[in-house]
Amino acid sequence: MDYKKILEYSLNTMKQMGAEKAQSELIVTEKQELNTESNKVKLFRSNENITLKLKFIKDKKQGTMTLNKISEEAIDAGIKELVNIAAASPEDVAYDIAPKSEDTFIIGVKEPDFDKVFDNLHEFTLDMKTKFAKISGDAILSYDKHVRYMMNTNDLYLIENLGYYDFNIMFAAKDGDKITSFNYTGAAMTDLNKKLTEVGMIDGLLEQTILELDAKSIGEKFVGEVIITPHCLTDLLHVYAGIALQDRSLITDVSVLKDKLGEQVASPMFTWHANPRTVNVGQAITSDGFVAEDMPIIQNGVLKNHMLSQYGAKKTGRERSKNHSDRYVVEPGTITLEDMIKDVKKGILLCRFSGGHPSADGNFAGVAKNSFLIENGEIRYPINETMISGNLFKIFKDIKNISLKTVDFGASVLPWIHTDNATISGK
Amino acid sequence: MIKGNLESLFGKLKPYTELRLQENRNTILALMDGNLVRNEKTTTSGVSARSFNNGYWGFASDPEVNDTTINRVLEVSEKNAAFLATKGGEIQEVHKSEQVSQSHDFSTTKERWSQDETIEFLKTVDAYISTSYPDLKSRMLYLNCLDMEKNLITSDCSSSYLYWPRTVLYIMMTLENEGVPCEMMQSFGGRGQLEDNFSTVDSIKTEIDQLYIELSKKNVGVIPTAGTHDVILDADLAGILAHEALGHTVEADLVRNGSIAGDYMNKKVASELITLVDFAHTYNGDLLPVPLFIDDEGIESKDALIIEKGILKTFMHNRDSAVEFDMDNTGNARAWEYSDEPLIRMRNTCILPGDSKLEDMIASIENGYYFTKTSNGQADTTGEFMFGVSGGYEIKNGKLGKAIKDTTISGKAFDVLSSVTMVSDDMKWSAGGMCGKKQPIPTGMGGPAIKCKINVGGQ
Repeated sequence: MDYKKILEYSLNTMKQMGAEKAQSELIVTEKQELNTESNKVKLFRSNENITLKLKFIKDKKQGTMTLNKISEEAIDAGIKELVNIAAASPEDVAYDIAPKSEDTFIIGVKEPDFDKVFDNLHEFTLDMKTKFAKISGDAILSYDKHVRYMMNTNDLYLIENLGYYDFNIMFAAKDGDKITSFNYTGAAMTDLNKKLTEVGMIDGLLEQTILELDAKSIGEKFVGEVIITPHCLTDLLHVYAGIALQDRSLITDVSVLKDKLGEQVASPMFTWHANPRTVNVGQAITSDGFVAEDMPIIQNGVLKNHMLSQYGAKKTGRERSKNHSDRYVVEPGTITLEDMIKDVKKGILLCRFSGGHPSADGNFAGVAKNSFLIENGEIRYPINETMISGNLFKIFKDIKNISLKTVDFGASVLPWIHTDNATISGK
Repeated sequence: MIKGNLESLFGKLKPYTELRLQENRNTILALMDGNLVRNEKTTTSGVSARSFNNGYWGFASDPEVNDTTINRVLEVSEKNAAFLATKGGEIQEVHKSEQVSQSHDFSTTKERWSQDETIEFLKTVDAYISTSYPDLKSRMLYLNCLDMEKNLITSDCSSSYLYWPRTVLYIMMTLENEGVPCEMMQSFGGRGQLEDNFSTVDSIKTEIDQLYIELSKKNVGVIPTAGTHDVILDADLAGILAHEALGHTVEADLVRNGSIAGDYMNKKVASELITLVDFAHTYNGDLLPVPLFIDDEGIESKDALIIEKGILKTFMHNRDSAVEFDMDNTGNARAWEYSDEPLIRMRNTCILPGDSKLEDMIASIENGYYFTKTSNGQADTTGEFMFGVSGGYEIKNGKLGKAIKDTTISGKAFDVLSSVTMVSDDMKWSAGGMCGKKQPIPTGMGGPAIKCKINVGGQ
């Protein structure tokens, strides 16, 4: 099918309907997915989809419409409704489309090896039965492919062709009447050369989960140190970006980092990038139609960039960010994980945070899941029913060390972070 | 849009197969400090088939719906199931079920609002908030109108048509205290289209005013003291307790994966004051937020009486798990989009009301908390749960005290439910929930206020 013609047709139709600016994005997706249940590959799912996203701007008014049909009849009907949606919008000079640009990007796996998808997942189920018999869980391995075509009335035409394997597992351990909290992890890959237990440090998490069968409560409350694992760090960075760096918090002017560009907002040890172009499973085009570029968010503790879209930038009068993706890379430190643990006088190894979404002030409170007590430089025992609270911004200011080792999740690369001053309370 | 005579295709379905046509239409409008930052409509529709072969499932979907794509998805789903069956080599009988057929359309009978009228309604609500409360640092209105339409047939000759709309307006307000932002959010609306949920701004002014009053108190509120406390969980929190703390642990697929509930069938897991039900569609003659009559596996949905007077009575099931556990199939299998396979999901989960008065419950606590609003929640296989608490008050000597800042509460479901000593005689339902488990799905939850002991995060 000639997708370029579909984009041209939709743009021409929007122009005929009065659009001063218009943008069309067509995403053609394919998924081949295997699911396990009770360590048996149980479901084979094949999906194809097509998504057409249309943006229509006239008289400083904007509307967007998303369809999953691409016949001329469906596009005509969609645009007719879109014109009314846009007409009802209030005027806003910040509505816009990306400038002229033309490029094609090919990322990852072009042709999947589906036999290897089945074989690797089957091998994983055998490993689970033999090496991790106390673990129950469901795993999903898929090959995902999308081709994004983006075109607009500024003569922009970009294509992103991305193919990758995606592995996700959710699991818990059970032994007699002892059970653990569930845990989950995953990784995106551009090949299947590694055993699935070895990607994204999954084997380490599975081994750790078996130890959690003997979890107990700390039984006291103290202010102490925390080692944040890469798995947990992923979630905390998303929250940090959401409450302080992205469109909503900056447009509504509630971000505590709104005027902190160029200032020290975290420990000098902390350098955090959004690198959609250089992680393994990346992203070449931003959601608003710009060619994505890697950028530092915080460098040596200094805030270098917010994460604003074109709209957010125009609305706030700030600079548009080179990307606003979640392809996070945190630079490693110099200390081994073993030495990092030895440095902890009293604290916890925080492997998963299950808590309320922190508000803009950064205060958080939640349960330290799948976590361990550390005392006098040694991991003492797995913990349960233990809460942790603190302030997210302070956590990153109080960093004591960052590990040399990192975990590559395919779309992000993250280390362990040793920080301080969290309130930890057991039952 | 997708209602049609699928029964003519029964002959094409080999045992056992499901064929589903589905369309989700989503309208999203977001006003951020008066700026329309989202003005979107999304339509996702297509056809999918799921086939069973010797204990294995194949699934396929296509966005186009015509004879060719229907034949293709049937063929691919059968081929996918056969591929796994060849690799597995086990024999398992085809699931059979009673033939059922139902059709339900909950779309509005009122004249539909135009996009202009809808945006005008939002702008009027926004203007009321900004004029009435000029000290707000920020305000956000987010309107989500979902129309979900499903048409299903199975090789058991069952058929189902369901048109289920939901409209939710989220209002978030932010105040500042010495430069520190303080937020509070409330959802309005529920089952039904926009016109059935909202008439004029006047209909929600009282609740908007109350939201501002609570936020003002929270803005100068205190951080709760960490530790285990006597608390009263108001209806919103009792609902999420029913859903997160207990509901997930009794979904049969989680039981299979080691959930604590697996060891407690027919055992005491809660106070005798607790009866907890996942209703299919109706309670006390009233249609519930997420009514399900036939599930996405073509099974008639039944109420799941999960806890009766403190005793664990059943799990929630789909076709596979009902056979595996040798229990009645409660018809809990639901899929989010046409391209998703059905999973075991809750429908309308609640704790039934008791006979205490809320004021007596507050008066009975010397030193504790009354939690009124929740932000999010997460369950665990151990029954250990957490909810974000975004609103509430101290209780001192039987009286409400200062408002509290955001916190998180946690506990083990069976321990917390066993600690319940009072249950209020009224209850509320909420329909704004979205549950995540491989796929998102809207859920209803409800409950009375309950008095219990719970772990509170804080200082």
